Amino acid sequence: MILFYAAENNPVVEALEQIVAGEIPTRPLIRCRSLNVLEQRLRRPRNDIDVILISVNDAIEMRQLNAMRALLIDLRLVMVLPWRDEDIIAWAHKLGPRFIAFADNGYEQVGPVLRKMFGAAKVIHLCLHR
Amino acid sequence: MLRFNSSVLLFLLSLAVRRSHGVGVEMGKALIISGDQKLIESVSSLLAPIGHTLFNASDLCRGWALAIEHRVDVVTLATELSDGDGLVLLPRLKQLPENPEVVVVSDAVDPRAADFALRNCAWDYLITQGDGRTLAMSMDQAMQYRQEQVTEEAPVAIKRERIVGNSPQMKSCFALLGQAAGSNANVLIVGETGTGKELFARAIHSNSPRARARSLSPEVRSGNPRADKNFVVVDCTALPETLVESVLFGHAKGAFTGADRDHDGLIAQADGGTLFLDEIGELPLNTQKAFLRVLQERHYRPVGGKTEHQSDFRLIAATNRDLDQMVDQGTFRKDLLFRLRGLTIALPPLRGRPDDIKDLVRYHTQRMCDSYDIAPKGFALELLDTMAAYSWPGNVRELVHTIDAMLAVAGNDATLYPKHLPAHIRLQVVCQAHEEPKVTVIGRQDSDALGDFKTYRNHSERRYLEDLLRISERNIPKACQISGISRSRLYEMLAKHALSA
Repeated sequence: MILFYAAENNPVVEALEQIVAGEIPTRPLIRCRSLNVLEQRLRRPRNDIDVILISVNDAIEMRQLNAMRALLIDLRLVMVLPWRDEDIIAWAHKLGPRFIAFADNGYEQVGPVLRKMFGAAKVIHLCLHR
Repeated sequence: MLRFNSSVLLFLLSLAVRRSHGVGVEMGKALIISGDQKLIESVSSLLAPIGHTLFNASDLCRGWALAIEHRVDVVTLATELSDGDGLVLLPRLKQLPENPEVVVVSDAVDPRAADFALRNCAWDYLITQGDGRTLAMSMDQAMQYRQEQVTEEAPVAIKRERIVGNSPQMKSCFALLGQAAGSNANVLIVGETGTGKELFARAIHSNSPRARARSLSPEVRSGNPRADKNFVVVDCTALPETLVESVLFGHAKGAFTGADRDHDGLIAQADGGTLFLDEIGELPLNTQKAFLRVLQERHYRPVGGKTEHQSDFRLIAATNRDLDQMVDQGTFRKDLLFRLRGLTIALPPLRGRPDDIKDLVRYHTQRMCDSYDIAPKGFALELLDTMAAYSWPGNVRELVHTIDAMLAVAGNDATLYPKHLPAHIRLQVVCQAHEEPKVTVIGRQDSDALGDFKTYRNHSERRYLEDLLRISERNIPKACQISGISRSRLYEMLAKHALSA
């Protein structure tokens, strides 16, 4: 399952939903529209979460996400940041994302990255259950 | 005519000097387990006069008893002994509380034995051919190392992050982690999938001067994300070949369709901090070449860029692949591998440190109960024993997933029992308890359960052959290539164990 956090609807978020659905059609995409909902989901067993895709609106939201970083441990994280700002990038790196894209340029790269990640995840999954 | 290399000559000279200055001062206790009486006498004549206390045993049983009784610092272990292969004792010796240094000696070169010895933390692997001087030199160095360990100041405490383990193997890894944190050398972390390579990389960063905010107040830290220098993860398994260079080096405006402005890459974001290349074995050959240049010169050029940029990053790389083999196959650059190996940390698989499993289960169960806002769970002893007996092919990652699944199954149950475990784990443990009771207890403290060597060797041989057939997909030429066993010998062994190719 791909857990997708994006608080607001905007053209980038809609495009990301389409990209994920197009690239990884076999996995359900579950959308969390608030940090509270995301937190509740992460406070339940997480074995079924393959990747979390997080689209960040601004620096404040980035800091709120950092406050709940203990819940993001051991999960594969892909982030889409609003723009290239050194502070936001530094906060993002504290969460250990596997890939960072930017909403103002190049967010389409999330598609091929997810496709490659799911290829690798499949191998790990098989390894764990052989 | 006797011929020695220069280091042996220097050693002999130093012995003469030390004999004249410090006779009778006990320096350390050593045990030689070998059937070669001449070798024992030769080593004793060199090491006893400078104050080392020496014990010797000609077989494994006696050697094991002496190692326990005298709590020795250094053990010399011959591979060929009257009652079996000496190497089987190596993991057990390394689990003794004293964690003695072990010098493995053999009369002939055996790459598999050398590989086993060094992977199990042997101090040295020597081909002696009766030469006591080389062996004495190696033992003396190991003894000096032990003395320095005792007299050294207590190491600075390191933040372990979430790394759990107190086994000798993990203590060795923590010592290397401390060394890595204190230096700026490139670090290569190797280990199977799920052994915690990224956690180690993070711990090296957070214990290093590059995580500068350690000296700042929490208020300053919480307000300024750049007070800590970045720890930048590059997941080489996630980056498509077409993206990898632009993601690493950044790109200039107009470099390709859609590049409508200049963009920094991850190397720039790691300036002043740490760049962690996870699964570096997946890095495409072209990118390896470009990255080697960055490592050599600390300069890089963004894709499509005309100017050079500089980045002061510290590199930590990790892989679960055999990079030496990849070099032989031409899929990994030899010069890059040399650069990466400033310091290598080999993380042990979880099955190699069974004593840590119970601590890991307790730690992660508590962590998850806190995270899920549920009451702490108790553990039935049988559950912990079952989990300690399982082989954990997916290592700590698999263990964490298993705990997560157990908590889901247990619901409000206050205590976790084996019935909460996934069926495949219980099944494997039950099968191995019935099929191979003597083999599975190797490495534990119960010496009575070790059994005789013939049985042990047979079990080990069978297990090896089963693994070999599985890995080679029952392809005999491939199995011969992997094992180094000739075709006729392999068929003979398969027949002996009633295994079919």
